[in-house]
Amino acid sequence: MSTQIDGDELRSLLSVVKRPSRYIGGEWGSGPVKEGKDLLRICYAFPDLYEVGMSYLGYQILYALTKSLPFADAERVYAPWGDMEAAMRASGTKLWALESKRPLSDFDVVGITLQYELSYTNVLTLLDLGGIPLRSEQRGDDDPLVIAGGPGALSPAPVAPFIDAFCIGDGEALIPEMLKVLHGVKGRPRSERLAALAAVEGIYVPQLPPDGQVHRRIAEDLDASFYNTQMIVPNTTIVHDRIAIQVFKGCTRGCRFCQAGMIDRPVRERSAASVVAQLESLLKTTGWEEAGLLSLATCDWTQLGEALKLMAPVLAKNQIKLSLPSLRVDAFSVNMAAELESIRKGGLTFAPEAGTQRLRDVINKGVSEEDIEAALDATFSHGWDKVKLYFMMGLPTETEEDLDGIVEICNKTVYIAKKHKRRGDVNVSLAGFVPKPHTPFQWEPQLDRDGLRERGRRVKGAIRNRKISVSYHEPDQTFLEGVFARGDSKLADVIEEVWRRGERFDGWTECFNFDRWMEVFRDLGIDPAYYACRVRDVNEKLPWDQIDCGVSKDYLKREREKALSAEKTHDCREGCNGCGWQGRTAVKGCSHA
Amino acid sequence: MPRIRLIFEKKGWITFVNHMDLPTLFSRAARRAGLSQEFTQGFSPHPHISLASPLAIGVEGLSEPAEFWFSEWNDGCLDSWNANLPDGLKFLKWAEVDGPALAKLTTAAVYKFRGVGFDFDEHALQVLKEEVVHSGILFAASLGDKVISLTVGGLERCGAGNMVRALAENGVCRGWRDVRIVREIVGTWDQADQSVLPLI
Repeated sequence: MSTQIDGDELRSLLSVVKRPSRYIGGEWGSGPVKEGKDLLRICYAFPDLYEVGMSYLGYQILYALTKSLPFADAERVYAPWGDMEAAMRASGTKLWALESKRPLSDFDVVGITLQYELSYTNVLTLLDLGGIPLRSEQRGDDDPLVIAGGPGALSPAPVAPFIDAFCIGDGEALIPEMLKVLHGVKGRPRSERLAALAAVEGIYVPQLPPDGQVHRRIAEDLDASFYNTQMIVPNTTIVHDRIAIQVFKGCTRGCRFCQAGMIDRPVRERSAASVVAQLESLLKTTGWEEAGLLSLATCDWTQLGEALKLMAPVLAKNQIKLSLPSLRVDAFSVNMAAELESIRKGGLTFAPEAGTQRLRDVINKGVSEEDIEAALDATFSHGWDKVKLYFMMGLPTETEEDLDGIVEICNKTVYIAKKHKRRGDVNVSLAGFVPKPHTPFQWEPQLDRDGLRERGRRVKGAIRNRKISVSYHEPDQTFLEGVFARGDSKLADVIEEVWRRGERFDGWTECFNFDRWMEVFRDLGIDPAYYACRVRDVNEKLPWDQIDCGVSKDYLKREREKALSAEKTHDCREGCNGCGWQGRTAVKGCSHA
Repeated sequence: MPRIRLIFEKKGWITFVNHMDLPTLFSRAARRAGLSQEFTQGFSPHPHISLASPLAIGVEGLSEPAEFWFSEWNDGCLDSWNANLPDGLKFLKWAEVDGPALAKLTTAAVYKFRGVGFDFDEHALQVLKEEVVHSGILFAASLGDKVISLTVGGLERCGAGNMVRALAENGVCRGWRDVRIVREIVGTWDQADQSVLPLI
């Protein structure tokens, strides 16, 4: 057992890096470290910077949940930025958990969340700096178990050699049972611990592959599930610097491009009373001056009106700002936002996603021309001056007409603003479409980098109005995201090699080095386009077939067929579409009856 | 609206939190303690707070002044506020005040410098004196028991950052990792007594 990092050593490291407050811990709501030799100790590691990781609600919930268990304790760590990594390597310091300042290698479990593909190199940094062998097969009885969750765990192949076990499903349902099992085998040989994990429903152990599929575990009743009444309040500004409350899981809209809407089914709502009670305790325990309601499409929460009514006095009394992250593209949502925002600063954000009705039907984005116009009308009539519009490029079946449609919507926005005598600044963001596993588009080829660049330029070039500004995502990053989203286990070698050559923080344009990635692909004889841009046959065996997230392949195939003929599928609140969950759950929001 | 002046200390790892982050940190703690802060008027109301000249990252402060406005304040407030602060921050005393703004009153500070793995000597003292004369006001300086004591004025221009840079540029040490700095007091320079008067 090694001991905690020496105080002088830590001070010396903190003295040579930017923003040292990232590395000190001690935030309100964190710790204290529990005493006891018999505890199962897990360190939740986030493969990105502190400011990003601290904004992740999942870890706030799991941290509180784990600390509430009498047999377990939780700590945290985030990926150190390049300056800190260099300083740690120069002094031979192992990556430490913020609370106890002990190295990761001292823990029973290191938990890693896989939120986005471009954080995979940082996973290796966490392990390596933490004193843990990179590959599962290299680890011994004294090494921690490395367990990963999050959306990346649903297509685990590219990182599977680095991870001992994947959690498939909701942490609220899975983590207490998993920690209990691990507590029971603490100190036992590694093989025994892995076997114990593999026996838990919803856990996938790559070294002990199951005969059939691993089925996703869900929290059926969110009001009855664990929810946190405390949060860790950072000592410094973070990305989402506010209380966050999840008001429902899942989504009923069935947008075909959206992985979150497919893998988080069925929809499960919380009651207004329970959300408001949680808000009140969080306001007391955190002191935060802002709160946000989180979910996929918050305006779809049937309890929203009721909740806002109950919250109003609580918010007013404490001068608390409330934010809804995602607005549906319709007048109803805008009017709701207008009631919330006492101060009209900033603007509103909408995601029509595609420029024509035909393409919106292909992707099943249930938004009509009239909805868009009504939303914009309402926005400017309520006095906002700015809107942000999100679109995708490279969607299946996309033509020039669809791109022109984006330009048309932008022009129309300026026109509607003018009608209401508002300034009408329009910020347009174009993202390259990345086909994701477990969606109806999981077989579709991704548009290559040149194609994305060309379409981005086309839209940008067709915008004449100076009130409209267009930006499009870096196609190189989009391409790699697509490669790893649908990759197989051969890509683990690429991740390891590119990491050895110095690649870190790929989600950050200032760090991302596309040439280095391409060099490694070349040197290892692997063609990245094979994963991202190839047309897959619907009967092809897919690397993520062993994971059952609840939605059936039949449903995905049906949805794909309908997409290609621009046929819509209605919101499943209006009747069951047979996605695969019917008959498997008694969840109230699931309309399979 | 009581205007409350407080003296606080900042010690331990939290010295690595930026001075600019302290108002938010204090005001969140005040909310947790159930204190009723007064908000500024205007477009984006925020709690009314005023801090003394910035304490550099990594420097301990033993007696740092700050002022807060509350709609209510009583004797019990200090303890409940302290109970809601992260480790390393603590309010030591308070007084209800009026009169000149904090910035006008904070004219001097006493810094103590200690080397890590080496001892400060007359050369180091000379370097620091020259730096303070150059960027601020030097009221007093001495070397005793390997610790350099500096009493400086012109706090906005003359922070620990400049001093450490001067030490590094003159080959006394490599930089921040080789020194430990404490700001013992921030207050008003008393010319007659040749000392720094505390603000409470």
